[in-house]
Amino acid sequence: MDSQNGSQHDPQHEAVERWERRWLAFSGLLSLTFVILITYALTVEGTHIAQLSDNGRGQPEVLLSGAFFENPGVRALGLNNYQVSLVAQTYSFNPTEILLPLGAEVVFYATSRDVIHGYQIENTNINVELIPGEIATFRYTFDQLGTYRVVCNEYCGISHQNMVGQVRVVNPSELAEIQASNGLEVGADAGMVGEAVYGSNCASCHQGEGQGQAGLWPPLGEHAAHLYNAKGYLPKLLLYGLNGPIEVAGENYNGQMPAWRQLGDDEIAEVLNYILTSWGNDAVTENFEPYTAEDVEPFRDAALSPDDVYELRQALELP
Amino acid sequence: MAVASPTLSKVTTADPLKRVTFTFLLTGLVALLVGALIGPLQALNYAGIDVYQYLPFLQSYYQGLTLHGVLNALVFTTFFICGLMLYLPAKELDLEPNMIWVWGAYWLMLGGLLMAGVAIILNTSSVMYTFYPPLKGHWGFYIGLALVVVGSLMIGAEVIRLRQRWKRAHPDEVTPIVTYMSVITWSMWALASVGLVLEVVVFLIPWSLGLREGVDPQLARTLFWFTGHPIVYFWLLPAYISWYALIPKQAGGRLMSDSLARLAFLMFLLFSTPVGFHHQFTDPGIPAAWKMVHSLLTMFVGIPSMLTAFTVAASLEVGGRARGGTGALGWIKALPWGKASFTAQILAMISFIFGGAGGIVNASFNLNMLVHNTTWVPGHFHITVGTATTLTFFGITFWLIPHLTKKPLFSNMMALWASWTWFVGMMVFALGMHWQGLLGIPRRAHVSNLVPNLEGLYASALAPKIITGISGMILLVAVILYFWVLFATVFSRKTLAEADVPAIPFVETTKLRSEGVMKLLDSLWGWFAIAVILVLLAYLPTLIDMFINEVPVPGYRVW
Repeated sequence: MDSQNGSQHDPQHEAVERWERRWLAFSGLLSLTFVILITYALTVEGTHIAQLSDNGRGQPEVLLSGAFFENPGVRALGLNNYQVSLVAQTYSFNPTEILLPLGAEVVFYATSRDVIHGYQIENTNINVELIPGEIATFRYTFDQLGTYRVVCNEYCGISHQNMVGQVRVVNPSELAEIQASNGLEVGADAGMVGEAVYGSNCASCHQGEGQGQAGLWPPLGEHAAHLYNAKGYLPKLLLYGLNGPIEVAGENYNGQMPAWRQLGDDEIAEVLNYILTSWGNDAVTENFEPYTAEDVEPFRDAALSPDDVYELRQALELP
Repeated sequence: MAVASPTLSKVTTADPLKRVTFTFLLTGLVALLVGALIGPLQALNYAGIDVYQYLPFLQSYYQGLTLHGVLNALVFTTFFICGLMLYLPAKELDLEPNMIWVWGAYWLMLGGLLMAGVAIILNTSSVMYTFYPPLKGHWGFYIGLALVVVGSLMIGAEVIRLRQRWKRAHPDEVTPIVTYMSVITWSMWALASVGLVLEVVVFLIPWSLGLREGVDPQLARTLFWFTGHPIVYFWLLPAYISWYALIPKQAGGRLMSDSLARLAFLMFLLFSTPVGFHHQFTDPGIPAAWKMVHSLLTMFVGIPSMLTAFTVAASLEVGGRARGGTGALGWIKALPWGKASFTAQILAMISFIFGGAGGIVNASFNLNMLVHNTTWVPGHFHITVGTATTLTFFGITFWLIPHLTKKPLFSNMMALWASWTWFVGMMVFALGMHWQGLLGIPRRAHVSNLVPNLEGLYASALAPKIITGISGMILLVAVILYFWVLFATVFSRKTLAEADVPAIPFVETTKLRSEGVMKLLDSLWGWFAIAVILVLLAYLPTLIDMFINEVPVPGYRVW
């Protein structure tokens, strides 16, 4: 090239052209090498790549009402074969903790309830965008013991940094013991008591002992009791969420409360009962009658938005 | 020799093109100043130190991060490029653009900037510069950004028109090199912007105005990354133009291979856009086979950068030897390191060696899994757009601002310090962030403000956290140094004597006849058509499928 430039027999130019050819050949070879390596790696092991599951496209409400996601969690399909169904929402993964035996071959089905979330499991090559309207499926074999941190790695809102979970891989012999202490059973649909519901769903924002988080989510001790007196408000709050700045005990909170419609009537009743009998709430609640599933069920017709619940709160002048 | 002089306007109104160019550059640089000052706060966040709780002017880390990304990556780059890549070709061709059109573009873009800026400052649109739905911002944000893009396309159209005028007057000559490269960059940007324009105009603006119920987030992401990859070449190629066609002159050498440089740019025209899926390897809604195709095509787009590295280095070597350097490496020492404009750009090139390598990792389907959405990603792009592009642009301002304003550069020494500090700061930042990324720490996360029961979540990253924190402080110094030099130059009361005003350091070229291979390279409409076909092949099947099976979902305001 460039002989038109009139630089005939210029030794410097010729040397440059020689090295140029070699460098081009090297670049081409390098690119080819990468292409081969990538193709090889993915053909041999590409099952961790997220794909759309069958029937994995639809409105989030519809997808979430399907078989997989009514009760998110771990199901045994056979020896060492597991299926995990997972729902991401602001700001938690449901289930928060995935407990598996060593060597478990797992197929995941995951989706998002609201905005796009990320799902990355530490020390694995699981890294997936959970997009509302899509069910992602991917596989992994957990052949190392340990606790793997799971983070949301796609910006999803004000508490994005707090959206974490974990995968625990334990020896099969220990698995049954741990599950018993968690109150969970493998292979059966999860029927959780109020404390377990709280731990898996509420604690990531309101904290393990209901302490809350300054500026975002109010503490629940005594606060919940004050809300109990406006009967009917609490089930609506849990079913539909709340959006807007509130003041509790002189402090401002403006985190979003997501809707928990996916919980069953019994679960909502039980988690409310758990909260209302914990952390000083029982001392304040007047004439506490535990919620039942039948108490919660009628509120499902209300079809409120988080903004509607906020307005209801303001109208009721709740503390 | 400098003499005391009256106000700024007097020296630039003489040449209307200089005036509008200066306006574009300064607007972009002021946007960068605001955006860059937020940077150190973010570096402290990734050092585990939360200063946001004390700041009255930012509601959250996420609002600050949105402002930082939009101002730095979208506004600064676009405005600066509209100035630079209008001025250089117009001067090379010695033609004046339509000033009404050009100023029209500027005011449109400034209006857009203000709209989007206000929307972000009022915390209505803390959606990041990627604004993925269902995150739902204010219509002012989307319309504002759309106006900035539209204005840039107007400037691009004008540069293409200038070339057409020139070709009609010089039918037997090949397009001069800076114009050639500029026209390719603008054409590539025109093709690339289609995705973003569709996403914003068809979906996001109507949605934010309440005219549309929902948006399909997978479709929106795909349209965004259609543009999101080639936009990095929109940022990079103007720097390449300086490296190929200006730096050799500044180094006392010449461009070693004019035709190879043109070939490199042609490859960018062809391969910049049909590769966007490599930003979506983790998206379930894109078939794996198509992800593989894009990964392969991305390997092709790495080749012109390899070519550039060689040609630019060879051109520098010629310059170094012409300045008296001898021996295998002596030419390096002989280069004009004392000149800030030169050094800034060489540091930018060095930064790109690491940035480009990291880019190959990102483009490799399987390696990407380990780094996607971790802090590795901002580590990568701060040494590419943040240094290769930005430090080159700084280096250009060291001669271009004096050229436009006839004011002397305030201090070459301070400019050198600014350049080295920026480079070192960015290298340290990259070390900290790439490392944190490999430890699995997510990007875009207010990790210094975790709820109490998550305290210690990232304790294993103590070393890289400290490194990141330190880098933020180094970069703060760099920002102050650079903008001190810039504003001291712009507001200087001295004027350069005519002979001392820097000329545009166009590299010497031979006028090439338009025949044979050179004519083929110069047939830009034909190459553009091929680029369009490649993009259609790479994108159409997936996009059609997504349009047909659209699943619009509701929006959320989560900040």
